[in-house]
Order: sequence, then structure tokens, then C-alpha cells
Amino acid sequence: MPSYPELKLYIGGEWKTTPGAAVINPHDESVLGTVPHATRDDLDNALAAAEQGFRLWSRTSPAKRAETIFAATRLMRDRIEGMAYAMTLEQGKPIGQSRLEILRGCEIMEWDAQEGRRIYGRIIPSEPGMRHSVPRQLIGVVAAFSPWNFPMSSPARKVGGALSAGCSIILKASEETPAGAVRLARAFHDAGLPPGVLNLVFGKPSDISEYLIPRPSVRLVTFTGSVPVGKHLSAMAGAHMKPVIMELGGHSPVIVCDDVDPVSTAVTSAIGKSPDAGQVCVSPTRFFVEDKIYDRFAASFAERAAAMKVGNGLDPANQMGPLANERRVAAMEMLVADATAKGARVTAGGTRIGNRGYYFPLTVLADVPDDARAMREEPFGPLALLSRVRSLDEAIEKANSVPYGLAGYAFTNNARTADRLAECVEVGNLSINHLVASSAETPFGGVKDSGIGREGGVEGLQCYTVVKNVSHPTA
Amino acid sequence: MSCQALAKPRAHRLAKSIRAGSVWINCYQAMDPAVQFGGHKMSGCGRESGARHLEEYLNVKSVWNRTD
Repeated sequence: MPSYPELKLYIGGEWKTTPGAAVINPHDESVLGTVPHATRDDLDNALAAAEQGFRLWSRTSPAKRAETIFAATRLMRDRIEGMAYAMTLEQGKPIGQSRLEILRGCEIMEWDAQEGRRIYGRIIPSEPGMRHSVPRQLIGVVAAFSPWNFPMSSPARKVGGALSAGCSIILKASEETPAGAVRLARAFHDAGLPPGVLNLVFGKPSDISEYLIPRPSVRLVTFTGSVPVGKHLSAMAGAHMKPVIMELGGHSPVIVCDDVDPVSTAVTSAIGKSPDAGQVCVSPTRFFVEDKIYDRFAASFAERAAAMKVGNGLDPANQMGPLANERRVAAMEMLVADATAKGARVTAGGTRIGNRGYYFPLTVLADVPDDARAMREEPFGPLALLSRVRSLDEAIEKANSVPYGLAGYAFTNNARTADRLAECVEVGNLSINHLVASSAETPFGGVKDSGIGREGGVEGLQCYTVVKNVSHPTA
Repeated sequence: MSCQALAKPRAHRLAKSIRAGSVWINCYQAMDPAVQFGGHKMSGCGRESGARHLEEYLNVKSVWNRTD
């Protein structure tokens, strides 16, 4: 039987325990363990280790770096059961989703490792006898901050990008779901990653970010989390002239055109809303459905949502686990109450399940008015908001009416409509006729308040580099 | 050729001027799967290894798509 791992800091290749805070199981509110909080000395040690790690790793060949990363992902694949068990305990998601998250995280790091061998520069034609060459050089030590909703794959994005490019990293993973990152660091340690290349710390998030970001050796700040925190960290990084990768909130629109089958699209949508109990920045949330098929779509969506099995994530029969914490339950209750007061109809779910653990069902709200708070504020939970639209123009206008622009989705069988949506929907990632927003090989990120920079794809790795123009007369 | 004796600007001039698919400066016949290999003139067409290698096996297609 797997067990919840002992949680430690990982600094300069050494594991360390310090006093910290309790990690709570969202299924039954029991205490799983203690997440250690790094002291100022620990952070100084992590910085010194990362500087040393950078010197070593940046001079290691991309092929050798890839070999180490693959050795680590092989270990993670071998240890998937223990890792998935720990992640489900701390985060709540069904065990199958934890396994998929680990596999996805491994795929991300493996793709990055291979692409790290292809960070090409270019030669620019110029006056005779003059050569301009533009190599991409490594940016330096990376400070990374990962969220609670993806305990393994979000750290994997950051670690994969930094290590594949040749940078070292100090990762501050989530204190609420720390085991995914601890297990990831353990795999890299066991795979022989040199000390200091990857460092893992926990603590009071604002204390750590305010200390690390201004330090001169930190050259890039990468963060996944909420818009307000992202803006705060970006401002701090800006004050010290450091670039950022910000993967912030979303409020994904789903435009459902009247040329598709409303029943199968609604079933796909209900299933697509359920992963991580909707606590995903790309979760499909605002469904703008054309008038002609709206009623059938809404009925099928409610029916499928109500059939969703909600319960302990360790039971493989369950399709949705608890929310991550009490704050999310309170937010769902508030948003549902506000929407219904303004005229929305609850057609599935709507109220907390039980009084132990943070359970809230997949909830469908039909006829949600534009002024409901849920239509403006990212719910970050299992709320599907259905709204009837009379035209494609109205759907596009409403899709673009929020300050978020992370992921968007559309269902249509009309090529002209698909092209128009690809042009007009203001998001970093648009998926047409499916609900997968990102993959290892594609650039993922947002526009507007949803962020800056990209993770994944060629563009993601480039964020870990700086270009230098070298001009040299060759005649 | 005494490669060690080459001053840097001379090396750059040679790299630019010699009509060959590969020029090695201060080393002999280094090979890497990341670096394209093949010939100029009668020595051949196309490249193996490097980013250009896979392109030899691909066709490009222009797709014109009105979106308005």
C-alpha cells in the first residue's frame, strides 16, 4: 500500500525537514503531513546552490541534459502508483486523473528535453564582410511558483522548460499540495541530476517571492496562479527588470453553434467540465449556445452532469473528487446564490454534498444573465454557465467581454465559422470541436489579464533564453 | 594546413569562402546528429542530420483560406 511521502525541502542536492504547516486531505479534512517552511538561510542556500547549479548545467551538453531528464521521467513512470496516490490524497482528484497528470507531466518534460537540442539561433545577411549572428543564450537562474490544482504537471512545465534549456531552478511549489513536487524532485535526485540544478522550497508564498525575485542571480520569474497574485509578482519582477512567464486565470468561453448535435456536444461538455472538479484555469465555463439547439443542449448537459459520480478520489468508480479547500466551496455557494438571485436556473447540483470534506457537485446553471458575478469572475470550480445567444456575432462579443483570455472552445461543423472564430476569439488557445487546451508540443498561455509568455512548444523554451546579436567583420 | 596557426579573421574568411558542405576549423571531421551534413557541387544534393534532414522527406503546401 503506498503512503503519503515525508515532505522535505530539497536544496543543493540535500533533503531537509523544518517546521511548517499541516497538509489537509480535502476528502475528509484529516491531516496528511507537515509541509516544511524554508527559513531565510534556506533560501540563501537555495540561491547559492542554484547559481552553482547553473554554472554546471549550462555547460552540460543538451544531449546529456536530455539523458538525465529522461532518466527522471522513467523513474516517475515507474513510481506512478505511489505518486498518484499521494496527489489524490492531497488534492482530491480521482486517482485516474492523477495518473494521467503524471503521464502528461512526463510527456511535457520529455518533449522539452528533446527540443532543448534545437534551440537554434540565426545568421542575418548584411553588408559584405559583416556577419551578424544571433545565438540564444541561457537566461540564468529561474524562480518558479506552481499552484495547488496540478501538483505534478505544473511543476513539470517549469522544471522541464528550465532544465531542458540549460537553466537551474528554485521551485516553490504549492504548500497545499506539495507531494507531487517532492516526488518529482526525488526522481530527479535519484536520476543523478547534479546538486543545485533543481531546488524545491515551501513557505509563506509572499515571503518567498518577495525575497527571491529581487535577488540579482534570479533572472526569470515564472508563476501559475491567480490574476491578482500574477500582477503583483510581475510588478515586483518589473521593478528589478526581470522577465516573467505568467500563466494566470481564465474564464473559458465555449461557443456552441447550431450546426452541431446538441446531445453529444453536451455530453462531451459535461465530461470536459469535470476534471479536477473544474478547478482548472482552462476549464470550459461560459457556454454560449445558439438559440435553435439551446434547450436540447441544456437538458442533455444537466442530465449528464447529474449522473457524474462524486466522491473519494481513491475509489476508481468516482469521476469527480472534492474541491481542494473550504474557500472553493464557499466561492461556489456564493456564485450560485448570486446567479439564481439574478434569474439563473439550477438544473443540476447547486448545493454542497455532506458536511465533511469539501464536496460540491457538478453544477449546471441555465439562462445565466450577463450581470451574474459568475459570468465575470473566474469560478474555479464545477460550475457550468449556460447562456442563449441569437447569433455568432453575439457569441463572439460575449466570449470576449471579460478581461480573461486563456483558453476558448467552439463546436461547429462549418469551416467558415471555424475560421472566423479562430480569428476573433481573444484567447491564447482555441480548441475547435474538442476540449483539450494544451499539449507538450504546443505553446500554452494567455492574452489580456490571463498572462504573459508561453509554456510548452518551441515558444515555451525560448522564454528561458535571451538573444544576443554578435556583429563581426569577417573580411 | 596548420589549423592552430589560423588567426580568427582568416578562419572566418575560410569558412565563408570554401565551397564545401562542411568546413572544420581547428578540428577534423567532427560529426553531430544536430548538424547538417552534405555536399556542394558534384558532391551531392540534400542534407542528412540536423534540422534540414527531415525537410528532405517533406513537401510544403500552400493553403489559401478566406476567413472573412
